[in-house]
Amino acid sequence: MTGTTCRRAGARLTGVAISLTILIALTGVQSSCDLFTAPDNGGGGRSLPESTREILVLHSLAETLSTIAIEQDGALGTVDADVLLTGAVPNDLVRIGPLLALVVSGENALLTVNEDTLRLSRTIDLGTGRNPMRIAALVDATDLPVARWLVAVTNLLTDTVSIVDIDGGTVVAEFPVGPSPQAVRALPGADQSQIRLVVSNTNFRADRPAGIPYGPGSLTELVLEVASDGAGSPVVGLGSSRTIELEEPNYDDATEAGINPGDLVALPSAGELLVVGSGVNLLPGGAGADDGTVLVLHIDTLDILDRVSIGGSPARGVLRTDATDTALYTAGVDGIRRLVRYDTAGWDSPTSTDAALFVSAGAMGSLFADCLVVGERLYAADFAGDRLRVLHADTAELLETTPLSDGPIALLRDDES
Amino acid sequence: MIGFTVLCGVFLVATPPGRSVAQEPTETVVITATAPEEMAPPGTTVIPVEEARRTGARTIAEAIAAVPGIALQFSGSSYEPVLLRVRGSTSEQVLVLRDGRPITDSYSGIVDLARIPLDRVERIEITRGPVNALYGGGAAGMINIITAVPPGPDSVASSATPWSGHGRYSYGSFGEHRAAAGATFTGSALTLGLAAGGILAANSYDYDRAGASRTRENAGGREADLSLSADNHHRGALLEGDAALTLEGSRRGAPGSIEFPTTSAVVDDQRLALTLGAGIRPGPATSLRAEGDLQRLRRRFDDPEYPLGALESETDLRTAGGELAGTVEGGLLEAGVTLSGRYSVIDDLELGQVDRLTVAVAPRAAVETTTAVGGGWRLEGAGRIEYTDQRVVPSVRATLSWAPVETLRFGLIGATGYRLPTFLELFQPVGAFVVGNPNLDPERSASIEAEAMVTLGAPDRHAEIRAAAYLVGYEDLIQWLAGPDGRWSPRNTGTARVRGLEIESRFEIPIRLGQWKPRIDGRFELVQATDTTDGVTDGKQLPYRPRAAAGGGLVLAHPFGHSLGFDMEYLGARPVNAQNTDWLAPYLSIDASARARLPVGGVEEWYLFLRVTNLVDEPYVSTRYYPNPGREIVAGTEVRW
Repeated sequence: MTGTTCRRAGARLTGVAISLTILIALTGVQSSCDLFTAPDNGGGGRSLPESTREILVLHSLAETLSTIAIEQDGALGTVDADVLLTGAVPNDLVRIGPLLALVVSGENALLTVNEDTLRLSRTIDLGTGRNPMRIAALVDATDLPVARWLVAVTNLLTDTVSIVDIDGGTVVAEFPVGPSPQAVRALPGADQSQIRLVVSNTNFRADRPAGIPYGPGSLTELVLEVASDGAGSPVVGLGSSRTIELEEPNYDDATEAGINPGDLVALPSAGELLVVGSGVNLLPGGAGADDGTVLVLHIDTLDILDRVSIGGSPARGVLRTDATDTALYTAGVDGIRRLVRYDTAGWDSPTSTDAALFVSAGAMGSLFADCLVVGERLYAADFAGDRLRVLHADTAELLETTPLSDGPIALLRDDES
Repeated sequence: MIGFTVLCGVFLVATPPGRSVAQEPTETVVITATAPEEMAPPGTTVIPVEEARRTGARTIAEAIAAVPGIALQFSGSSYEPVLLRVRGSTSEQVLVLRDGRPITDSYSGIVDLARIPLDRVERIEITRGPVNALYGGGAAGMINIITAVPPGPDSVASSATPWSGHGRYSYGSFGEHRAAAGATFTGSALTLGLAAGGILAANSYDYDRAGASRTRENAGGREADLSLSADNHHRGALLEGDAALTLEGSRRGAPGSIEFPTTSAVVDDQRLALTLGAGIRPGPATSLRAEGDLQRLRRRFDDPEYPLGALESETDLRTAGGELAGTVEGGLLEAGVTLSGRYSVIDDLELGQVDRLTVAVAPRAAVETTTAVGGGWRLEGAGRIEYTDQRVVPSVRATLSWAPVETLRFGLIGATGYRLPTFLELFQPVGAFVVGNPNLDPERSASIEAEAMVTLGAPDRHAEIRAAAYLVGYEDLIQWLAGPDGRWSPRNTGTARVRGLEIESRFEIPIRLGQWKPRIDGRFELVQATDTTDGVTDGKQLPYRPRAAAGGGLVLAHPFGHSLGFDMEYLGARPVNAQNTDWLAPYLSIDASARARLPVGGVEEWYLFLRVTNLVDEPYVSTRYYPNPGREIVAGTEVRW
């Protein structure tokens, strides 16, 4: 082949290559117009009719809210996934009046959502740098001297609790509490204009010794005075505030982890408020102290009545009450534990079989983020496994499992607030 | 405290990695090798920094932003940190080198390219796809920053003085001053260089977004660097040697995000790097080169007002490396082998003292033929067997290049690679929310790529078109997952697949506007970066990876040295979470630049330049909660003598 022939062949090849390149480019541009825009992920409200009974699931990593229909027998029905986009790191939700209120930690925001449609109705800015964690509906607004729906939100990074007027979309007050507050529970006050707010303070400190970042744990009790400003807007003042220390007298702050009170569970019928504390969490592989604790407090005086060591480093707790007894299910690092309160004998000893591990997280070491009980069924959100497990609340038999969106963190029953 | 440890190997190698592509700079842009008539190897783009300087670029990040396959994720103004991705990778999977030596550290595995100025840089080589077989790192690709070579004695001989130098100053939006100066003495036996630079950026700036005025606090800093170098290159001597000492210091704010600002957090860095090299050329076809380097990075982070208690960390990372490389050329065959060792030890307030020793042997060979019409084929193969962290990790890279004629070339590349876990991933101490995992395996990658490149108008190459299609698979990806204790820890649970298409073109328009020569660039890429990990994210686009991007530019160049340029980039929507429920909006960013050469006697070149980024003040967000603060204007001057 001569040089001239080669050059001609090269020129032809070059022409072919250019034509092919342009063709590929045009095809790419034509077919990729949709690729420049975000796909439609839904998130605009329910895509299925509202079920008579359902569980709402908040997904911390998917940043969405989903619903799961519950059949009459308690079996899981259709999942309506990711019906609402929440923003970064939603952590908790509560029902208040006709609305849902969602705490979105990464956005420093509170979302209000119409429960019928599950569409966003309002975004309330809680303020930069607060990192809101948990929420509680203040007692039924009809009991207050102002016809407004109010919620309390704990702010982890500012050591405060914000009182938010859901109707007005404003933060009406913000009060200091203890360090690193997490759980919050509203209780009736002495009269209709008062609300008692109990906040658990985990006292997380970055400069504490490695591995024991919490402590000492405490509660803050706020007595809030609620009034109307005359124009119908709420005015919330602080009547009083006090701190309840939760650690044992011989607690050594320098060497021990605190109780890390992650949840508050009210049992008004027994006159008790339960504090669920993880202590220092178990390390991967099970190493480390296993000092999960349930504190039993008098619901009015907040005196510590009992200190039950249950292990399992629980983060959340839920109650189930039947005709005679009450059981506290705690979701923790190694699974779900059950602690029984016998009507006549009080809370069971942790050494009995009832306090032992109820449901093991299994070899995969799933992290149960939240659980709730409906009838005989225990619904447990498996954060790491992205699924909801349904268990028999008496036998622990695994009845059902359904996959969920990324990072289910909080559950809400349709009749629960 | 463990002192520096020097490991020097004694090996044979090809030309050191820093010299992997030809040496001389060119006036043409991307995709060119150093000489106009020479193409860069398949899979590689070479950016002559002089071309980037014409557009007012000041940092490596600004110089490579428009290269297909490269994605930059900004976190505010151009002074604030930038994350780098290559073809849908993570930042940790990209190796950053200076003259072939890694500046990616074992601690975090991330290099902020917004921190590296263009001063004293001659060109930037970008290789896409795994390059471990060539460089010992880079599961997804590498950026090699090649230092400018001082003028040789021949060019100095024609000058009145053996001294040459440069100076540069710029002032930009958000209160940013940058200055650099350097001088080189080229003697008959030795070339000596001295260079220094500094940055002063205001600690807070105001900007308007969504109709509201905002203030970004604690986002500035001050930085300084000093560099000394000596070499006897260009002498044609049997024995060549070089040495360089670099000192860098910086104190920067760490502003956090809008949602969670950290107005008192400060990062202090002190870095010292000493490199030594020596080479011998016993004959025209054989060479032997030994290199050694010592690096020390001391980093201190303080946030005394962190809401959950004061944060502080202090890290002292010391690295010593050495390699011996040799190559033999004969006929159509070129072969070489590199033996290398690198030892890193870290003293950390939290992690304690941790070390890592890596030793490797890396043979390579190439066969090449040429044809009478300027075409030919070349087959290159490289392998590396590395022992590190009590593991043997192999990697290979093979490149087949076929040019039927001088103006057309096809390339086929297959490669495997890996990314070693960082010290943070391995040894992060138990905290409230995170804990490291000492049992991590390296991430693994494998890729195949086909590339076609056409150049027209030889020898000036008035038009170039490059198209590449690739497939990259990742296994054992390190993902931070919530453990049963609620703490997040890294695990080798992820897999991913990235498929993509890149097309870029460059045409010199055959019209003349007086003496001005117009040139247009175009680029388009599709990236399907898919999470294939079992579970709810299977099939989803990896976070922050756009599925499509397009861009183009127009440059008017005057032979005296003036230039005008516009460049636009349209970036498609990017998901911000693994399940792809939330996406950042697509955006169009337009940049403009102008440079004028002043006819001043006594200096070789004197320029004034102006660069405007985000010309139309598009309110885009590159990283969630880190919005672009708006139009940035930089004006400056540069002189060379």
